[in-house]
Amino acid sequence: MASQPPTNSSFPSTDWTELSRVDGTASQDAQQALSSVLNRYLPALRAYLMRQRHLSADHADELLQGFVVSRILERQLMARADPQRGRFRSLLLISLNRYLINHVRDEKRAKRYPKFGHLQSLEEASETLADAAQPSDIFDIAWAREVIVEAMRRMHAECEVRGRSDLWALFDGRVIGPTIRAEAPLPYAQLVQQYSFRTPVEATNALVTAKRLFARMLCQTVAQYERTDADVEDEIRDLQAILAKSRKIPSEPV
Amino acid sequence: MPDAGQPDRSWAEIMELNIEPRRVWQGHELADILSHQLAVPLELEMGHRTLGVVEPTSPPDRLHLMTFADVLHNSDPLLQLLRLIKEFAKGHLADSHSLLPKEIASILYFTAIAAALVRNGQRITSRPDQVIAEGIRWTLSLSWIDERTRAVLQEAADKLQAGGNKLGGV
Repeated sequence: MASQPPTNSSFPSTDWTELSRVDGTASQDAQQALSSVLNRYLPALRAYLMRQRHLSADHADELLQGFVVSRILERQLMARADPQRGRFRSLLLISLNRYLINHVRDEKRAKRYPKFGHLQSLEEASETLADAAQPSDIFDIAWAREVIVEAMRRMHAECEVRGRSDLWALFDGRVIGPTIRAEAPLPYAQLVQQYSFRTPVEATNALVTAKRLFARMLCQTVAQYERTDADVEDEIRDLQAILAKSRKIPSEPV
Repeated sequence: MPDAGQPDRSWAEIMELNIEPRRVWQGHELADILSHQLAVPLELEMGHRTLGVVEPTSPPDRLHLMTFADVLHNSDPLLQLLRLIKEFAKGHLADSHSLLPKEIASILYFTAIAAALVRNGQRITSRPDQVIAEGIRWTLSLSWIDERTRAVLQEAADKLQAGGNKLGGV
């Protein structure tokens, strides 16, 4: 059994339990839970607004701030989260899109009846609204990457605890580098020399062990917000499918 | 790297939960893996079984140095050692959880049989010549095999094709 995840994780405690603690009160417990949930989801929401909705960083932050105040705090979105009704991140994205539609509508209204300036056509406005309502994978892609990065962080910590920095370095050279830093994988001959593997079986064993450790950390990460083992596997399959069909998107530094 | 317009599978591949040991290396790395395997001392992989075979006939210092290549590329290899290599490879081929890439195990298997045939004039398998010939042909089709191993396999392929294998028992 792997050791417990480190306490400075951005994926703290069980999600639904945590959501139930965000009860709209000003209690310290509720505030901490809210802060934790926001820390977890806001980067993915921000990526969604910037990449899919083409908002500037400042505009995205401004809109997110409004969303948090209007929907999460005032209308207590967290209190409506129900594990029986689907994933929380879906609820979050639907709410953000609705908020965005209203936001765009308000902006258009202001432009349509300006004190000065041109009158926007209804057609133009409806196109904007239709676009804003389209489903998007961008949020899911950003979320999937958040999950992967968190699993990597856990694996790194686990390797430190177990005194297996070699496994981490191997995984970094063979998997993380090529995926995130667009580097060539550490060549076989080089890693044999670097880690003094005596046989191909030893080398394969080390790499397989590293990959299996990461897979375990990935399950552990997803288990923080999914309830059952079956849900964890479903979620990983979903995220994998989303990433597989996604077009190349610049990676955030890890 | 994929084009900007192509799906980016690498992130998805990280999420693969079923790690298949035989697929952790890339195809172009198999030449290096073969080279590594050939340089491994037999004793390291097979331990006491090697000692039992070699001890009566070889000086002890040679024991520690004898590699897979030393046996497979030898002009006069010990038949018992070729048999050990064949059994070692066969074990990896039969084990679906083996950590040795299948291509490498296959090369060891057919090269041991080929070396016994052309260097010792002996068969060390009960498989029909046709099956062995097909296996050797497949192995020869791998472009990344080193020259010395290829030479042994090619010689055996020629011998089998000429129908000249009337030598020895299994």
